[in-house]
Amino acid sequence: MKISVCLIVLLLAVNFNSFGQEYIKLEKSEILPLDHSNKIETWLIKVSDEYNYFKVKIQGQVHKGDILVELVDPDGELKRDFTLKAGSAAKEGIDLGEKGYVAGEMEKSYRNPKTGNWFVRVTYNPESNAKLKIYNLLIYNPRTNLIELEQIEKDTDEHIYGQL
Amino acid sequence: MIKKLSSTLVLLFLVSFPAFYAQDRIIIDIGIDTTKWAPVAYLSLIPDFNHLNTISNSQIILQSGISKSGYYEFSTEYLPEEEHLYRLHFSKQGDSPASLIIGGRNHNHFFLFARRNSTVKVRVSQGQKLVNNIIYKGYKTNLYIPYLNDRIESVDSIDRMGNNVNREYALETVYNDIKAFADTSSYPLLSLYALYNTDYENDYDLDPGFYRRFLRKWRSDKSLYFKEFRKSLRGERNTVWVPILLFILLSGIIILIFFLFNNRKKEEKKNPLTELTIQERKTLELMKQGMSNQEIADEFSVSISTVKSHVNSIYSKLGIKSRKEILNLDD
Repeated sequence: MKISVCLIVLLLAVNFNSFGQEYIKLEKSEILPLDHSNKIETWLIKVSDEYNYFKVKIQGQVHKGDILVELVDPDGELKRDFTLKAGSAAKEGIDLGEKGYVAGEMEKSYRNPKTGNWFVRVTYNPESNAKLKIYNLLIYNPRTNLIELEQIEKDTDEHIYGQL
Repeated sequence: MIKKLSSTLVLLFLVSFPAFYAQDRIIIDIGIDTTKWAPVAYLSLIPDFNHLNTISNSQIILQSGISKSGYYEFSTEYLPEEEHLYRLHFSKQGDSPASLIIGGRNHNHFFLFARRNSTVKVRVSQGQKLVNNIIYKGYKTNLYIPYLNDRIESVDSIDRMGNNVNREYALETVYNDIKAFADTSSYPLLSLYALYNTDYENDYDLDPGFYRRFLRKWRSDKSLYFKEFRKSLRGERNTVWVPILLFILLSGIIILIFFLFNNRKKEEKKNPLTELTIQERKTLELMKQGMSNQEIADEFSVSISTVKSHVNSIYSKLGIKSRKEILNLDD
């Protein structure tokens, strides 16, 4: 009797502990400069089934040339993309300041993401002068609700992400 | 005097009132935190729907600061005369003005349709999210953008909140909704914009009839938007159908040539008269008229033995045995 009570208590303790389990994996890749021996570069993001939340954010800056940035899921399906074209002159009367570059940013997040190799594909011309930052956030916590997720995202946005 | 003046004023009002309201007025309400965002709005011309997510310096055609009355206003007398798609974007304080942010809380742009002399006014209020709860007023094509945006944004929400089991079903439902909107909309560019926000390239393989009907409906639209769309669908079709069509066409030509050649041969075989020489034909004609061998020899000034030789040759080539049968021959 005593043993079974102890076992139940132990099981409950393990269970409660697993409910509170949470781990966050944040990776940051800086790509600067692009390797001009290629015209296409890809970065793999491995998403295993232990994670139930995945967010990717890509920031790009192009000073010269143009780049196409694409996020592709493990099934090869294009999920989001943007193209930055630098070098063209602004129209008369448009003041684009002294920065001179073209910037772009995209983000996409998934609850219960497809598992496998996600990748970020960058296509560019050899003259391109660009820099990129890729962030990926993976969270495991089956209990996390949307409000908590919003808070985690906000924290990572404010403290970890930044401008290029 | 007063009566005359007031009637003139009423007349003037009646004349100017429709003209005033006939103008394309585009008023958009947005929320913007000016401590985070630079107080300048940029208007870019989107030449075709393949460039919805492209940004370059040359795309930006107008800019505006906030007026005293709290509006961004754009003078649009130099815009193209026909309706086009435009993107209005803001950039973060300290960032490059030519910047595009897609997705997330900092999504920094929205789309609108306009044409030359459309009045474009963006009313600014403070808000947590830059592009949140945008309200379009005035220009009719834009009035349906919020409906579409809701559906487009729900694709993101499905990814954010769904699971793999129901995600595909939910996405299909949203895409079907957008497709139905494109099918029934009476605004060509808006309906095309709607389709570009679905996975139309994959859907074309499943339901090509829909796209053929859609393009037939808007066949009079020669804008670059439709030209590019037609090209993208034709590209799909080319890859699958052109080799098959070429194969069928070539096979058809070969079969046709074979039949023509064969028929000709048969026809030639069917008509043994074509095998006769000129002299034999002349002889045959006179035989048909009932002339004897001697008469024919006299007519042609040849010996009777020559005529006999012609007659024998005619008999053998035509497969006949007597002059009676010659009379029954068709010409």
